[in-house]
Amino acid sequence: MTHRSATLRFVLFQLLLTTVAALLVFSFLAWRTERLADSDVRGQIAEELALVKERFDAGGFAAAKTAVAEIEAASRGDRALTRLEDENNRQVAGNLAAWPPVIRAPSMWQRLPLYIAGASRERLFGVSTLLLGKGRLLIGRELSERQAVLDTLYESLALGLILMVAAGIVGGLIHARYTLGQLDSIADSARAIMSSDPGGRIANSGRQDEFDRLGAILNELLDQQERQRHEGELIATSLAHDIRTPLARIRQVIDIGRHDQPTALPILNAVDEEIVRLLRLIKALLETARARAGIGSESFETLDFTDIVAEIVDLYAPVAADAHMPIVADIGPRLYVRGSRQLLSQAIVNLIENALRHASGSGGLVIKAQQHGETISFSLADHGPGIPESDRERVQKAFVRLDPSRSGEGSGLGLAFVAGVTSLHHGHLTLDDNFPGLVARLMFPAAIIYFT
Amino acid sequence: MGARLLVVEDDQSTLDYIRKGLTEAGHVVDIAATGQDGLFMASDGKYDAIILDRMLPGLNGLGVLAALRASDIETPVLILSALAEAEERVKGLKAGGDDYLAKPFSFAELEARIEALLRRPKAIGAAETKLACGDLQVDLLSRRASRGSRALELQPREFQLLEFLLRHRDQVVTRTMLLEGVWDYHFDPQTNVVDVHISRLRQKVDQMGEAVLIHTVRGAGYMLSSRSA
Repeated sequence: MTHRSATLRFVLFQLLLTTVAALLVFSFLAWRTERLADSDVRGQIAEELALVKERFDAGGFAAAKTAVAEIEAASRGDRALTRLEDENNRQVAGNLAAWPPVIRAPSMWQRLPLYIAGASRERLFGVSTLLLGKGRLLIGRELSERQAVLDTLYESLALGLILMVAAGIVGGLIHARYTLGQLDSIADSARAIMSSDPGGRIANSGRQDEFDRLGAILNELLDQQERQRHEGELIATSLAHDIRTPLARIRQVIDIGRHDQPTALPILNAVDEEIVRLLRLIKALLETARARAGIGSESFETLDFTDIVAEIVDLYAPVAADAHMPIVADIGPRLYVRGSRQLLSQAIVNLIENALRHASGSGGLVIKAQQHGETISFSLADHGPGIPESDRERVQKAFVRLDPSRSGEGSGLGLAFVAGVTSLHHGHLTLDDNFPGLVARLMFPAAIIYFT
Repeated sequence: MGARLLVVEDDQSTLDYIRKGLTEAGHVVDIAATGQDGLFMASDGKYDAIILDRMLPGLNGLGVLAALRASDIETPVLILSALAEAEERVKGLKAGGDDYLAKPFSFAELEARIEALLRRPKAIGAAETKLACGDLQVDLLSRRASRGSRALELQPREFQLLEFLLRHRDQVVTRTMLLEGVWDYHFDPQTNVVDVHISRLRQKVDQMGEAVLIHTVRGAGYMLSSRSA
């Protein structure tokens, strides 16, 4: 699920980036275009202002009035806006009936909408003003038509912006799909190799790109892991052989002695019992070490976990009933996991035997096996003394026994083995309080089943 | 009723132990200390069963087994191995072994398994549909069992257990053999689960006044037999 949100993050980021870039370009273009579009009108008005001022300086308001009239007459295309006022703000010349209150004098260049008498709606003007002696002069031009052109331009730009953002989204999606798709396929291969095909490796596309490099690094890691597993297997194998052989010989001698030396029988039996315990311990230790080292996953197959649990319940129900700890089982249908039937069964057997041993006489055992989403969970709950919270982590380690006086029973490896097997199956073991008692819970990823 | 057996084992002490026991049980025992010798001796198919250690100097046990099977020698083979794990067992059986016994083993376990191998029906062809022992009758097709005129109400697993005992009639079957053969578990539980199942089955099969069919063999396991022990 996490890679889906990665796609979303990726696309959102790309979208943000394109939008900001597009807005910047749009604003800059608009600003430049407006300045460029107005510059000729501004220049002409500046000239006209200079002309009126020149005349005013030479001949006062009368001369200025003639100049204004000339300007008015000369402007043909765009409607000219003019007003010349004397020191008492009385109109001397021009076609504007009143000085618009929003315009100050002197002012360089203002764009503003104004109502013109007789017009149905406001129109856009560009206006410059000047002080003449104690009077003031205003010259402007209508910009509405130019603005219409600009508006068309802006519309086009806006359309471009939308297209850019859309392209950003699509591009982001494609990019994310591709990148994350490549990563997904690498992850899928890696997962398949981990769960079922330890000899397999991630395919190289030959493009020498980042994904190939990532694949190569993962392959190296897998090689290393496989080497370690092989070494571990070799050590475990020779250890098994070297330790068991002398013990086997001792047992053979004891067995012969039982026939030949009947008087020594009690001693021989006592020795034999201890050797059996030692052998069991070695076996449990090796099995735990193997599971922890990842040995055994190469022979994983898809298993019906429902059957596995049901069969063990079937095997243990009579023993548990005889011990007055009847098993109540709630096993969901069609639970599938990838793994080893023997190891999973043995792990569950360990949990049941632990409960029978430590919670004896405390009432029934409740076994549940269910699927929640993509997780298969198995739990076994008893009403025994439980395990203090502070020790729950510790007891999953090898050779941890909570009661140091309990020397005889159990190898101290039971839960370590269960934890090892669970992690070999890409799952984990948790221990919780059953108020009172212990709930041991195993969680595994569910196997994907393709029904044909 | 002694059989001709070949033991291929490089550990002298284990070899002596097996040979002594099997000879006392009335078998004729030949021995080989290396894989090559074992293969050479077994290659004319004259043995009734072969006990083959997996780790041997030179040609190892699985190699010997593969060579035998490749030359169509179908002598039953019991593999002995210090590798007790279930996957190792699967490897041994896949290579053509008929049974797999982890070291160290008790002689009773080895003997029971060899007896089972020796008495295995040679022809697989016609499958039996009815098994019997004394007045105990089991119909494998209808999955019904009866003792004399009395029908036995058996759970599916109890039926399987009884079927296994019947197929090994008059032979000792160990607890481990039952766990492997009936439940397909290749590890040893610490609890007496098998005994409890046997005792439940026994309550149904052997009732008051009837001859005992399911016998306990001390130090070894159980035996279904109509002969009184």
